[in-house]
Amino acid sequence: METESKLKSTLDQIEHINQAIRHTQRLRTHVCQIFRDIGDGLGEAAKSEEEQQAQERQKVLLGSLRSSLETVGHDIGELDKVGQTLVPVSPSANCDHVSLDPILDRTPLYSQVNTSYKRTNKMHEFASLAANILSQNALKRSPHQHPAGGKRVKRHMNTASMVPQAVVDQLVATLDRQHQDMRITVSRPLGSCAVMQMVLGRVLKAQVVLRGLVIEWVKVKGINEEFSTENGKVDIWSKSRYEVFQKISDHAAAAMLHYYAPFMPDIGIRSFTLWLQGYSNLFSAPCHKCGKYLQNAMPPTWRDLRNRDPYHDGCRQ
Amino acid sequence: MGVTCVYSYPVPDGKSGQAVVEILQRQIELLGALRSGHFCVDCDTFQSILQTSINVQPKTVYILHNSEQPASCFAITDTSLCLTADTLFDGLMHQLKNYYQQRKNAKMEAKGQRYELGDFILKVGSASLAGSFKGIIVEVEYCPCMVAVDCWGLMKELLQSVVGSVADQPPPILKNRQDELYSPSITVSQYLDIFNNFRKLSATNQIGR
Amino acid sequence: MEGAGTSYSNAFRFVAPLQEHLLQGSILDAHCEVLLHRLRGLCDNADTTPETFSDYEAVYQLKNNLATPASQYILLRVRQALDHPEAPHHIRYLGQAEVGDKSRHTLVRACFDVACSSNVRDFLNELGFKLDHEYVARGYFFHKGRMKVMVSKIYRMQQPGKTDQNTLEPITQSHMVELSVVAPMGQDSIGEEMKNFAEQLKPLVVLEKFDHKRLP
Repeated sequence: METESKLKSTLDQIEHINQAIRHTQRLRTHVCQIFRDIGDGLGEAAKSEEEQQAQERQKVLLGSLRSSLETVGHDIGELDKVGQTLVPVSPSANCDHVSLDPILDRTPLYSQVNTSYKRTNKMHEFASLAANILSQNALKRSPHQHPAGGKRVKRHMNTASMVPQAVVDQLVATLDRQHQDMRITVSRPLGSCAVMQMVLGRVLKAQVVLRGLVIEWVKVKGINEEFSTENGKVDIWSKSRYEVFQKISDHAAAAMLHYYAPFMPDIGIRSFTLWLQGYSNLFSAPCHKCGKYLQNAMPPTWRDLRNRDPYHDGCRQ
Repeated sequence: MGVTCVYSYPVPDGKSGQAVVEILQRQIELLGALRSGHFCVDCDTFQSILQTSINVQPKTVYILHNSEQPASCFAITDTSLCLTADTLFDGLMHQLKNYYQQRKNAKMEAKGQRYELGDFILKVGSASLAGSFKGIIVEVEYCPCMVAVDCWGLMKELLQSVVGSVADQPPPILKNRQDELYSPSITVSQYLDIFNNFRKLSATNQIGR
Repeated sequence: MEGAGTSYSNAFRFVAPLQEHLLQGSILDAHCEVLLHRLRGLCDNADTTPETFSDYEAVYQLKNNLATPASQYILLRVRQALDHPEAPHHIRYLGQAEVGDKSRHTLVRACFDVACSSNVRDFLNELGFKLDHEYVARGYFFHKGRMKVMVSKIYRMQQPGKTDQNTLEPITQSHMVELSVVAPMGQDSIGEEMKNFAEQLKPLVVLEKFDHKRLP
């Protein structure tokens, strides 16, 4: 019963609203008509006619104006009546107010969409150019091959990086034991990637981020510098204060790429560690080629990849 | 804060201290170093007024400040024990005025220009005792290295291009502490050594007259 | 003034000394928990557990045998945190307290606190200072604004120089409570603040100023 009565009342409401809309429309038409009539005025022949005819015409105009205004008054009265019967809609939920949100009018939606479209286009352009240039580099270490490449090659690449954590820990422990003057520790502050902290004697500290058994990132800093931010968290991005170690970080990145061996990953890490250990005489060895200690106020920062001889950056072949 | 070598550069006869300082500065600038401000190392002497036996020298404490470590104060006893403290230590020494008195007209200062060349910091300055010029001091610091024995080779190369044969040997203080991890107290001890040498020289000059 | 203006360090030399305002009291061990709860509620950082400290303090004395009785000896306290070995050592100089001034509620004395490297004990020995006494203090500390409250138990060291737990022996069955503020000279309103805070700790512990010279 209740639902029926509710249904009836809602239908009534709808009927009233429809009526109100119709009345408003009628009112609008009549008011428009009035303005049109006034706008038309007495007509074009007003200048050439005699006085009497002009007066008659005026009377006719005023008469029609009067009747139009009466109609308008009548319409307003009816609209009022219907308006009284309308019940204000109770707000059912907050979502009703969303339609009242004026912010949408104020957001410069069009210009923002335009800018983002232009930017995405530019990004596409640059990305395709970069892909062209980078594809010329034969040294690829990511598991994502060009789709035109063979699928079987793809599977082999993945294994070096998906190695269980225990294997990595074991390898690091072996390296630690093997090199007497290096202390290597492993931690996992960045999720499943291992971060190796190496301290080489009293010369330098290095931080190596591994993905499985593949070296991803190397940073070298001085013995008195720290690899942590102010909060104590591990920081792998900040550069060393000293030019020497900035240079060595660059060299280490080159070595890391050189020693990349996807099919024998632990040999890759071992060779890299052995190469890094060659820096224990960073400050005490003269350059192999020119025999001096300093070139441009820098010691020999390059260690040859095959025999670990010290060379100045400008003296290497 | 790296390995630092401090030397006193002898002033050849016939030249003024200022002229030699300028020559050295020009040489450093020729190497490619860039000026990066001034430096100042000063030294005060405090002597004990406690009565001990007659033949024993009264104890002395030297208080030094280095503009490279502006928040620190270094106190060195005559047995070369160096205490590193913060700048309130000066106030503490003044509280001890009934036991250790500051020697008047004994303030030594080394002031001059500071240069940076890559990871090296070079300083050339003149040392003065109570305002009168006593000698020239050259300091070279190699910041990345913390152990003197490792980097003596490259320090010598750079030093010889600046001061020549004065730097054939590492400074005596550094020679004894080549193996340990370097700290600013070693630099300050080197300065004190040089200041004491200047003091002795001026004392013998005065006696000679 | 010799060399005034030539050395930048002159500015630091004659810095206005700080003054320490102090109120002391003690509470039996059995009732210490209640005091800690009350302090936790009154002081800052009520939601974190109170911070503990474990310090080894040694007092060095330098005697002057020729001067006037007023400056017969000088005491310097060297404090080192046992639970944070990498923290620097501190030298503390505390001047004579001004007593007899009834308007002051707290003990006021000049205070110098200098951080230094760890060879400070050898250095003081070189200077002629002799070790007078040493002890280990362990307890909790709270702070409210610039007021610091320390509730500590003092332990005697049975073997000089050894600070492991088994060589320590508590001196009393109570904890010492100290309320102190270190502030620049001339701020006397701190005494009022401290007195009001001390009122809130009564009757658990009565904090008052003690004349150290009159202690037996």
